[in-house]
Amino acid sequence: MSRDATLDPVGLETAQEIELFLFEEARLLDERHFDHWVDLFAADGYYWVPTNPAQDSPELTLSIFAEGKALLRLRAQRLGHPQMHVQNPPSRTHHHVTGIVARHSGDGEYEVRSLVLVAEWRNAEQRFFSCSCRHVLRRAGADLQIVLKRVDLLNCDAPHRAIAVPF
Amino acid sequence: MSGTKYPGGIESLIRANSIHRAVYVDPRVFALEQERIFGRAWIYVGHESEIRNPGDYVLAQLGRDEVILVRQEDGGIVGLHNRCAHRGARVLPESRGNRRRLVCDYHAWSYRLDGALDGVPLAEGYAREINDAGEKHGLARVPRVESYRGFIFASQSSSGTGLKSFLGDMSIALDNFVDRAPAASVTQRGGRLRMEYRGNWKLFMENATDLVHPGFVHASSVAVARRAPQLAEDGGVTGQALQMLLANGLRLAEWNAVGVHSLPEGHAFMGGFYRDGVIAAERPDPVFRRYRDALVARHGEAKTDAILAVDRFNNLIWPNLSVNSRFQTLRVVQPVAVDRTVVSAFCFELDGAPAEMFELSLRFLNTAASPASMVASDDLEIFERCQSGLEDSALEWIDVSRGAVEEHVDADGARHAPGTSELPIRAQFEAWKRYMVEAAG
Repeated sequence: MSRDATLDPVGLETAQEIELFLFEEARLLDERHFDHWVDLFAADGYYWVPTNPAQDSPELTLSIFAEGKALLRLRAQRLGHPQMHVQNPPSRTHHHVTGIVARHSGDGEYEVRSLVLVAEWRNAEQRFFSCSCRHVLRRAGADLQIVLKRVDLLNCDAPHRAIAVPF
Repeated sequence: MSGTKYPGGIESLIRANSIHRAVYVDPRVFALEQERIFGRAWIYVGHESEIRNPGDYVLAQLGRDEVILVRQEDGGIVGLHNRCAHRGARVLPESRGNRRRLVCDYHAWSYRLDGALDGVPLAEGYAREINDAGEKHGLARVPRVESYRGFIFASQSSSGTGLKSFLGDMSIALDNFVDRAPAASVTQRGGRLRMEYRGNWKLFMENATDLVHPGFVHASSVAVARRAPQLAEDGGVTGQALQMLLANGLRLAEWNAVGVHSLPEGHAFMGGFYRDGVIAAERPDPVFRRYRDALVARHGEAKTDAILAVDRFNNLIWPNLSVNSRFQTLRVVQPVAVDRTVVSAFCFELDGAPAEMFELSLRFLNTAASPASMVASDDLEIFERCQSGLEDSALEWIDVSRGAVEEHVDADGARHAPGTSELPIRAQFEAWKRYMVEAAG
């Protein structure tokens, strides 16, 4: 039994709130509102895409992304810079979000699992990334904040061509 | 493939200061490179720390062939082609592991760790010489496998230059890599990063010491880093990433002072250009101080100073290895097709150093060599644009003359030039031409 299954599921109202939060996050990425996407992260928030499905830390094993909010902010600003060559022309993406399951993880935080299929079109080529996502969300006033977003790519250990738009 | 001729002669593709586009786009040139360069030169295949115990193995790419690099009972290292001598199946399907015998899953032919045939089910049914076993029907062996200070290279040619003389003075980069460890050894750790681009393998090696490109190709990451000066104060991974982005923003005169150098074997390197904060050569922080103390305990002050003073950035071991001893990282450039390349990146722990040193090394590589890197992703884009442009036949030649008039040559053939010189590219093509033109042997 996974650790998640021992956590209490959230009520319907919270489940819907979290689902809408994840859909909104996907929309911000697809519409290239990258600064707003970074705003969703808590001050201590972390974005992590490991190279290994069993990876337990970004400190001891290499990662595709492993960034706190300050570096994510630079990344978002770069995505708006005219000389970001790898986004000239820019990518178009669809983040298809499905299979959302949210549970209480204690301390007012939520442990959320989802599956995301990212379709990306750029330079006359389409590619797909199949992602298993784990969000740790925290309630901050009326909002939810991302404490951790971990994205496990199905092909995390493959050689990848340049990746510019976050998953 | 042996004896393949290029129409008009391969030497006609390389001039003193210009290169024919066929060198990047013609599949026949690529096939010849596989035969004459990757089939003969010393190619980096792995590190001894990956295969410490008898039977430990890793799979490695040697040109077009996959080889099993396996530790022997006597501590030696042997390279074997991963192809069963019976019907040709790939013998080991997992990229690493430990085996007492190498057994093919198809008809269970079994080999000793040195590749000799050891057992064949229904042996009496095969031709007599197979029954007699022995090396003749074993796994094909890589003719030469040698380790230099733990770094393992292999050559598909049974004769030719030894590894030590192939490395020439570039052995300094590998020496410094290991000398930086207080216990005088390093351990590969942290997995690997792999990035791919639709372009020729040489584009990566040419770009690695091209010091005019950073100001243009990396303009966006320099610009955003300059907007966040407060992060420079950070003594950890965030500060390190910021300093790395900022460092690409040197002015051309400053890049010239960094300098580029080439060696007669085709190797090249650039001077260090990381000067500030947590990426400075001599850092002020307590972790570095503890690390330095450990080095002094082993080597004394004078030698420690000399070790830490070696400040070079990309040390390019021709044809396809990039070594960074200051940050304990390696990048291996793997040609897949004439227009397709995979770059694998590895980091190492300095044995005997404080554990925190490894995290900075690992995070250095994350910032520099992930396919999502804010720096490398723009390089990959440019490589793909080069490849796509070179497919166009309107202009046959590309120019690599920059800085040719400013080279200084030492008596031993080492050359030095201001950082914005294309000297390293010219030196790489001199080695390329030598290998490509010489009769295979």
